[in-house]
Amino acid sequence: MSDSANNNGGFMEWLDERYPATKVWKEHIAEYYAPKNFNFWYFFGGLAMLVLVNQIVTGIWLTMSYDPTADGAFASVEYIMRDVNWGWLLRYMHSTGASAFFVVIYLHMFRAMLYGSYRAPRELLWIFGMIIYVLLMAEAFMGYLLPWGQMSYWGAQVIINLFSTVPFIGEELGIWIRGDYVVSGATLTRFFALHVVAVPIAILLMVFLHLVALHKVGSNNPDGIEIKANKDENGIPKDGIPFHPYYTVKDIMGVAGFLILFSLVLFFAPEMGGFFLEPPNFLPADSLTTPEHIAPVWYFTPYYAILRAIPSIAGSAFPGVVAMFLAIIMLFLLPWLDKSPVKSIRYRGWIYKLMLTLFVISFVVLGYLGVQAPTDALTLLARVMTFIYFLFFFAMPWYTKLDKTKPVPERVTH
Amino acid sequence: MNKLINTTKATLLLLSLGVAINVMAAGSSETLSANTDRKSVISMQKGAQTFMNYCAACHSMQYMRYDAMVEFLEIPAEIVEKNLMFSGDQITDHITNNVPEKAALDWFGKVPPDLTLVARVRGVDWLYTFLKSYYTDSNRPFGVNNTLFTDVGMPHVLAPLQGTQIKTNAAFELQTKIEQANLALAKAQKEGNSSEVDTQRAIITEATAAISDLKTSNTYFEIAEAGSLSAEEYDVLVRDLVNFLDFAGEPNKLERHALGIKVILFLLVFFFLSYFLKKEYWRDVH
Repeated sequence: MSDSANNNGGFMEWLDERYPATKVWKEHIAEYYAPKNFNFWYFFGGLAMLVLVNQIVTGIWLTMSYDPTADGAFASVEYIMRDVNWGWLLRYMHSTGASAFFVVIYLHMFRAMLYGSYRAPRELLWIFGMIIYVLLMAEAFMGYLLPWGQMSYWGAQVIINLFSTVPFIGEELGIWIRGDYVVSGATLTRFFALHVVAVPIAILLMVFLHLVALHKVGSNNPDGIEIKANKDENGIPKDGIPFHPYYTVKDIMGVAGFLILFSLVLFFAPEMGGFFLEPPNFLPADSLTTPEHIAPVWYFTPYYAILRAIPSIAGSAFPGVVAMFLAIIMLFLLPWLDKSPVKSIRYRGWIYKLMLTLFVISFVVLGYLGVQAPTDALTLLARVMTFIYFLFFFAMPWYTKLDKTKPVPERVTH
Repeated sequence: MNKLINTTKATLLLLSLGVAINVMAAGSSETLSANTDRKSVISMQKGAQTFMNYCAACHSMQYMRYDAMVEFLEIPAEIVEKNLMFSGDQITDHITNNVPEKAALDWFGKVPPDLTLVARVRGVDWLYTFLKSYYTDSNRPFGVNNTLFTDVGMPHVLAPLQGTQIKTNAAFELQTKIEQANLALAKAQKEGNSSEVDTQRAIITEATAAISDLKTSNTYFEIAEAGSLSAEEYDVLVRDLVNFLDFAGEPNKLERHALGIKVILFLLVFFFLSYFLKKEYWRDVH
C-alpha cells in the first residue's frame, strides 16, 4: 500500500487499513484531474449540490414543527413563520431554495447543451442527471402541496387530473395517486411521506451515481475535447488540474456569488413578485372555491404551456398530456439525436447555434405563457413555440449532420 | 478574454430574466398607492386600534397572537389587555372571534374571511383602494357596493368615519359614454362598418383611460353625506389600518430586511476574499 506508506502508524494508517479514506480523497478530490478551462457555466453542478444540502437541512428543521394534516398544515406553516425561533428564515430558505434549485439545474442542463456534455462517453451521466431532474420535479410538486394553500390544493388537483386523462385506467390512476376522489388529507399525508423520505433518498442515490459516472468518464469542457487523450509521462492529463485545491477555491468563490443573489431574494423578495410564493397560497386550501386563475409554479410553466397548446381530441386533454411528457422524454434522448462530429458549440456551425437559440426562446416564452390566462393569440403563440421546441429535437439528427463544423483543437483553449 | 465575454453574456442573460419577471409582476393601474410605512410603529399602533374596534368583531386574525402587538408594536401588555382585547382571551391566545358561522352566513351570505394574511393575498394597495371604494348602491342588501370588489358582501363598516360616497358626475358621464359606445360598437360590427368600429373602440379606450385618471386622482367619488372624519383624515386612518394588516401578514418583515443587509455585506466581503484566494491559487495555471 503506497498510500499508507507515508503515514507512520498514525490515525490515517489505522483508518486506511479499514476504510479507503485516503484512496477516495485522492481519487475523487486531490488527484481528480479536471480540465483547466472551465468557465462560468461550470459553477452550477456544485451549486446544485449546495442547494440540495440546503433543502435537506432546512427541511429537517421544518419537519420538526410542520403538521401534515389537512386541519393543521396551513396553521403550522404560519406557526413556523411566527412562533418558531428562526422559523421564518428556515421556511424562506426552503421555499427560495426550491426555486433556486431549478434555476441552477436549468443552467446546468443548458451548459450540457452548449458544450455537448451529454455526448459519448457521457450518455449515462446525462441519463442519471435527467432522472434527478424528473425526481426533482416530483419532489417540488409534492412539496408545493404541503403548505396547504389554495394554489397548493388546486395546483395538485389540476396536475393529478392530468393522470386521469389516460385512457381506460385514468380514473383509477387518479384515485390511486390521491388516495381519495379529490385532493384531501389522505393526499397530503402521502405527499408528505414521499416528499420528506422517499424522493429525497432517491435523489441522493441518483446524485451519488451521477458523480460516480462523472468521475469514471471525467468532466467535459467548453472545447468539448477529451483531456485524457493527452497525458504526460506520469499519466496525468496535460490540460488537467487537480480538483483540489484549484476547483475547490474556485467553487467557493462561485458559492459566495450565488449566495449573494440567493440572499437578495431570500431577505428582500421571498415571494419574488408572486413567482416563488404565489399570493393565493396565503389562503388556506378550500375545496369549494376555485381560484380565478390556476398557474403552476414558474419552473413547471413551460410544460404546462405545451399541455395547453395541444388541442383536445374528443374532449380529452390526453394528447396534451402526452406532448408534455414527450417534451421531457426528448431531453433524455439528446445523446442519440445529436449527430454532430463535434461536441462544443464553439466548433459547430450556424445551424446548431440558431436552433439552440430558438430552443431557449421557445422554452422561456412557453414559461411565460404558462402563467398567463389563455387567449386565442397566446394559444397560437404557444403552438408556434411548442412546434419550435419539438423541432429542435426531432430535426436534430439531420441539422447536426448538415451543419458545417470548425476544426477542433488538440488541446483546450483558455 | 473569451471567458470574460462568456461570463458577461451569462450575467446579461440572468439580468434580462430578472427584468422580464419584474415586468410580468407589475400590477394593474386600477389601485391607488397605499404608501404605507412599516417603520412607523405609531401608524401600525393606530391601525391595530382601528382593526380591533371596527374589524375584529367579524374578522379573526387567527394565526397571530395578541402579544405580537406587545413584541413588535411596542404597545404595553396592560393596554393590549384593556383596550384591544374584547373576548376574554389570554394575551398569548390567537386573535379569534366569536361570530357563529351560521349567523355570519345569515347576515352576510358568507363567513367573513380571516385577515391575518390578507395583505399577502391582496397587497396593501388593493386593500387601501378597496376601503376607499365603497359607494351608495340601493340595489345591494346593505345599500353599498364597491368598485374594486363588485357586489361585495361586507357592509361599509367605516361609513360613520368616511361618510357615504357617490360617483361624481364626471364618472357617471364617462360610464354612460362607454355604455353607449359599446352599443354603437355592436351595431357597427353587425353592419360591418369598420371605420365606425374603430371610432367607437377609440371612444371606449379614451373613456376607460379617463376613468382610471379619475380613480387615481381621487375624483371618481364625492362625499354625499359627511362622516366624522375629513377626507384626509380618513385616508390616514385607512393607511394606518392597511399598514397594520401588512404587519399582521408578516410581523418580522423588518427583521428580515435588517438581517438581510448584514448577511449580504458579509457575503460581499467573503466574495472578494474568495476571489483573491482563487486568483492566488490559479496563478500557476496557464
